[in-house]
Amino acid sequence: LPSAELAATAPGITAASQAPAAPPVTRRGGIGASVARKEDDRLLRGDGRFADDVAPARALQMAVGRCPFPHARIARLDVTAAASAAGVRQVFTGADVLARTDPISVLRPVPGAVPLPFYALASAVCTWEGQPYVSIVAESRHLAEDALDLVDVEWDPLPHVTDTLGALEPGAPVLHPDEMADNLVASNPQGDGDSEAALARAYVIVEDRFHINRVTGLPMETRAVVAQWRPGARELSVDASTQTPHLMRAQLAESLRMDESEIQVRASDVGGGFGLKLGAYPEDVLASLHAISLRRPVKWVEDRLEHFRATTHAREAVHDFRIAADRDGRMLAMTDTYTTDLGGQNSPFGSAQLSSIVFTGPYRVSDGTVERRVALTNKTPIGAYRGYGQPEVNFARERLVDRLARRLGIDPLELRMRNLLTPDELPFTNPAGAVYDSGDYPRALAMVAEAIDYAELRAAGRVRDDGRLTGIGLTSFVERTGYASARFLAKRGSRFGAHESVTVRANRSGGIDLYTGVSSIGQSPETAFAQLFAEVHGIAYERVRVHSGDTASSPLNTGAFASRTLIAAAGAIREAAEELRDKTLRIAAWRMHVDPSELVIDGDSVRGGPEAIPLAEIQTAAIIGQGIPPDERPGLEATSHFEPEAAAYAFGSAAAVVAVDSETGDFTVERFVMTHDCGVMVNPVVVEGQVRGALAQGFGAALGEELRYDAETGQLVNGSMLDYFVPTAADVPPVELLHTEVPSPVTNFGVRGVGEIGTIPPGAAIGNAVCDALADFGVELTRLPVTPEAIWRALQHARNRQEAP
Amino acid sequence: VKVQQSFSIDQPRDRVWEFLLNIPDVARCVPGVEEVEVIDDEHSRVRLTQAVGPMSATFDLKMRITERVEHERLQFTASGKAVKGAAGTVRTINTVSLDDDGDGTRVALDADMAMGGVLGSIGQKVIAKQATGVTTEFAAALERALNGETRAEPTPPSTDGAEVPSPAPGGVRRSRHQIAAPTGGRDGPAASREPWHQDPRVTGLAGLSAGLVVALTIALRRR
Repeated sequence: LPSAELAATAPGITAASQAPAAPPVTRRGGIGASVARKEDDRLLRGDGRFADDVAPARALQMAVGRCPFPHARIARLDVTAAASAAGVRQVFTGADVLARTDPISVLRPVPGAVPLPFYALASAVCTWEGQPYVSIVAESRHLAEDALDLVDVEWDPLPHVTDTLGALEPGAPVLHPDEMADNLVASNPQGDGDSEAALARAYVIVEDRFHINRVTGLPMETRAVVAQWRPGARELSVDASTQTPHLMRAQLAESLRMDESEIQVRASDVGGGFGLKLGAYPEDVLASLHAISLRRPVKWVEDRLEHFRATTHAREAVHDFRIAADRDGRMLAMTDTYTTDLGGQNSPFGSAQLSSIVFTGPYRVSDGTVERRVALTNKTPIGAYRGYGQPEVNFARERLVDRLARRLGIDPLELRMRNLLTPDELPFTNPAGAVYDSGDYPRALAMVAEAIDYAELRAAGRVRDDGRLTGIGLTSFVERTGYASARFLAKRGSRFGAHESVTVRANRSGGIDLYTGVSSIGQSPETAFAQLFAEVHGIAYERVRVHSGDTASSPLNTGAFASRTLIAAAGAIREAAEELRDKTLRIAAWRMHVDPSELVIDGDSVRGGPEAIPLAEIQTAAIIGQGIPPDERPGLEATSHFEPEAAAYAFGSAAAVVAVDSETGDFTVERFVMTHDCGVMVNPVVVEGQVRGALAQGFGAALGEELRYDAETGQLVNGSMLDYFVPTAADVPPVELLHTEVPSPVTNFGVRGVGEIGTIPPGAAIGNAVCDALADFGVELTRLPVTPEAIWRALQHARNRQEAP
Repeated sequence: VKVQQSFSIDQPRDRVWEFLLNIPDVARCVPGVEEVEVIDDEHSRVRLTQAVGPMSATFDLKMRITERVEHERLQFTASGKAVKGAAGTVRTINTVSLDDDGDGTRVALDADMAMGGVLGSIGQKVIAKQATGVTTEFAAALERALNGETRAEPTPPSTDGAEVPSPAPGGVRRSRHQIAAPTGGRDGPAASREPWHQDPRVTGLAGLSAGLVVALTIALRRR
């Protein structure tokens, strides 16, 4: 189906409250069908193969010693006792790593940043609590950990800094004095128009400082790696829990000073990634190094206590946001100067940069400036996490939109409606240069308002019979999905492309094997890829088998992140499917003595009128080269690479209804309604699952999660599941999801990425709802998470202010 | 964690001071202390074990007396790491001050405790609870010792400290607890009337001792 035709037939809007959107009727489980996920059978039967399930014979286990101080020099390190402990096979320190490896590369550097060499083990100074400084390999994990107790290490604690802005103050301890004079990694201003002039003529300016909490993604499967080395074959095979097998292979080759062809990386099943498993970590290098040196398989599985300090954290930032408007509430300009916390090192994906790209949101704002500053602090490095800057900036902007409404006496729904870009204004280039492709932003907001009975709720007033106060919070947003192109990425120094690639191969059973380097992290690529292939090719969905995450069998690709997989892969799958389909039809037509145009592939056969030949027969003929036209080459296989021309912008709106106790700050999120558009949905049930899953993480970050560091000691004080409050199923507020399907004009099939958008609205919608309920007290929340404690404090603050003369 | 505690005891100040200078005797009042080795006037080593239910962990601590003001104040530091568990490090600075209180003596404990590594990031609430029990035991043991009750056995490891039954009634007339605002809170020092942060009160030595409990989690995990 050509995309134009598909776009024309795509349902304009499907709304559903609890049940997933009704799928349009299609053939063969193609686009739009909510077919059962291909991944489910094995996962539900306990037949998944995660890295820890890989159990080679004679495998050794690795344990890693970590610095207990936020900033310390290794004064003395003696590992002789550890090395001679029972069952210990090898101990590496920073000196061994320096001698044998090169630094682990940064995949997505901060533009303008000085490179900070990062080795798998620290050899002199550790810059965060949890940084590895020794690795021990033994016959079992507990022997390796016992040997860690025997490592004789003496630390010289150095002055540390854990506050994001404090790190940029003069006199703050400098984390990397050899490379930098202070802790400011880079400063990236961008913008368009004349925001100064707009500010000068504004009737009103609202501004504040917003603190975004440091959180972590907590995948159910922690990181893990199994490295095996065959010296005679010079073959390093690495099973890892990673979102990017091909990128990890490149990083390992660099760091281990090996040839890429000597390394195979496999990620069979990955129990959640969320951005935390992008690129190589120290333990991946260390396990490989030990395996090569010992000539035995080496396994390392991160335990949960390690995970809290050894895997990247996310989000922490401080935004100074400003909105200028005229008397009617028309937004004239927005400015945002924000500082992201990078932690003690530049992780492979470092500072979240999408706060800049979408800072003006879905509003008609042409004058704006945004500046990202990146600060080093003595904390676990920050990396990518679902949303990558977008939930952060959304909280700051949307809190101010509500404040603007109050200041001008305009209803916040009305104020948003006045400023949202309309469909005929798209495509629109925002001040950061982002091109919003298409959409109907006002409709998404209107649907949400209607679903919660906005007018009725407003008319009913705030005060309830039980004394609690009702509040409604709205938020509208866009989400960038995918990358514009490799040219765009090159400008930012990124060390990966924007493309995806697939190899499709017909087999003699009449099925198709589809190979992709995208690993299966819960985002259902096997399902979606098979649906897209079936749509174009004509074969039944069930007959497509997707093999994912193995660098040995898949074409070089980019990986599973940035909601980019589908956008890029859709093009590659389409091209490869068309090539295979056309050749299949040519061979069939020759055998059936008809013209290829008279034939279609339908399920498991090639059909032309009443006649049909099984696909298995045609494919076998092609594979063995017997019974094919004289001018056809044998084989039925295609590889395709596709780079999207532009990013696609998903969008949506959300509303939260809360009831707040103004004495205690306790509150309940009674309703949460979200309208969401990711263009044409390939599998509505999968989309629903992705949005709901991201919402759960969004609620966690909005309502409870926060990694806290003690300012005085620099110690992470809540690094365990006992102390870090991640929501359980019972904690997630009831969610009502609505969808629109405005096809994207810039992608194949009109799709947009999906997977991250749910993380964006919870903080803003709930924060706005609470402040709406407490408007009479003048409460304005500027920090995440929104907890009863935070509300109680804000109430105390507001009361004290009112009592003051 | 910054902690303060004071209690009064029916003994004259010089007698209390004398007792405090005897490191092994004082150390034996801390529940869980297994070994005390006095190196010189200022330095000593202490090995102690803490237990909660079936879990236990052992720590080696180096103690150093950093200040002595006769009959008034004694300051010492303790630092060490887990013997089992590699859970991290513990450091404390402690001050014991003496003051006249009628015929008796008011003993004030002031401690600043920091735990590093995994140790510092688990179950701070559990630690605080454990510390309450350990504190009570320590105060009672100190009182008993000062009253001349000799003890043949070192104090057994503290167990399930949160609900330790009150030990033998000695001359402890009252026990008053104060705790400084927890450091690192988002919103600065907490006002005392706040409903938040009603942590059980913790004392210095007891806090130190109880802090070690966190290693238990790790010990359990590993066995």
